[in-house]
Amino acid sequence: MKVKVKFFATFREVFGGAEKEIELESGSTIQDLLNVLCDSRRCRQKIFDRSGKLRPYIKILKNGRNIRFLEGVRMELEGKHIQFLGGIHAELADGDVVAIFPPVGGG
Amino acid sequence: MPGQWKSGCRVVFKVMTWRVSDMLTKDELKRYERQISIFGEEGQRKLKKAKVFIAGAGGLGCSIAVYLTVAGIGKLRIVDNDIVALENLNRQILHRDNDIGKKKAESAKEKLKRMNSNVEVEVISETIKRGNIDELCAGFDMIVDAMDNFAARYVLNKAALKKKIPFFHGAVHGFYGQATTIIPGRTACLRCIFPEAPPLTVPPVVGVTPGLIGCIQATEVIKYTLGIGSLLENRLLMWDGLNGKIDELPLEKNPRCEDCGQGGG
Repeated sequence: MKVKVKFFATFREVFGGAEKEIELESGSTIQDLLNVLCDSRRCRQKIFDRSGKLRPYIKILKNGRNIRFLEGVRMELEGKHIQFLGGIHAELADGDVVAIFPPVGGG
Repeated sequence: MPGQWKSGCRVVFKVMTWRVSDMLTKDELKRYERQISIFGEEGQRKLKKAKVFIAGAGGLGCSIAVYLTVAGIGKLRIVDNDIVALENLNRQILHRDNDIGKKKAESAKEKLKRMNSNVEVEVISETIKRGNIDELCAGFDMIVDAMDNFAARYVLNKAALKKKIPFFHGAVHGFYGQATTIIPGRTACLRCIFPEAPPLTVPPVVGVTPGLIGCIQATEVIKYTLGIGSLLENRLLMWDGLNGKIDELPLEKNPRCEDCGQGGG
């Protein structure tokens, strides 16, 4: 499957462009996508902290929704309990658009 | 004639419903002629009645203050505790070589008064903190973010939420900038958008970037005051000056936001 990744602000320089199309295996998550994107030490350091966790101030939107707000959502659909895994474990689907950026802070 | 008398009464009544200070002088009618043709004298009076709090007199603050001053906002309060330094002059357009060493707030006031003496410009040389923000912005209708760090921005965000007044966010880095308009109760707050501050750095800045982002923030203030157009509500405008591109990202409230959600105030 293919997903489109959009970078904003200084991440355009870190990742070498405003947009990339990435080929992933079906069932891949945001974490898998970030692993593919971070092909250099510099990229990895910008996205993850020393313990390998996503830096808390980085904003990631999946199809316009903040992945952090999707975390641990449980829903009841036709009598069945369905759990959507959110955050970095949110699953991606073919054609998804993922936006990644850091806040800029100067004034 | 009875008819004339009636219409005379109506005119008198209308004049009496405005306070004398809200009325536009002959000079103001001429000065704002080209914008009164857009939103009318009624709109111009709304601007004259507005009281805007500008947090910072740096790159963003100078740009915001210049355009709100020339637009005829009634009262501006600018708070900044910094001193003008040579390395500020590539972007902080209200300060000059001979202002180096002066307080930024005072230097800004001096120029703004000369741009439009109809505007009341008040300045305070203090550092914005949790402990003084309520007092600093008391009596103001809007807060404009011209800060250079997220810690101070979160203080402004909380104050705006508490007072239920709009908060116009802007920030810059190099050729990149961002802006959004926060309306308490209606939109995501700054903490929903950016729950954690990025590390504090001294970012590179080209003067044109805060110039442009400050103008966007000032545009939002004017539109909000007049009640026209569509505000940047729940939309983050992202400017990339290097590639000449503007993008817009959707924003949403965080139901568990510590500042505006159920967990917060």
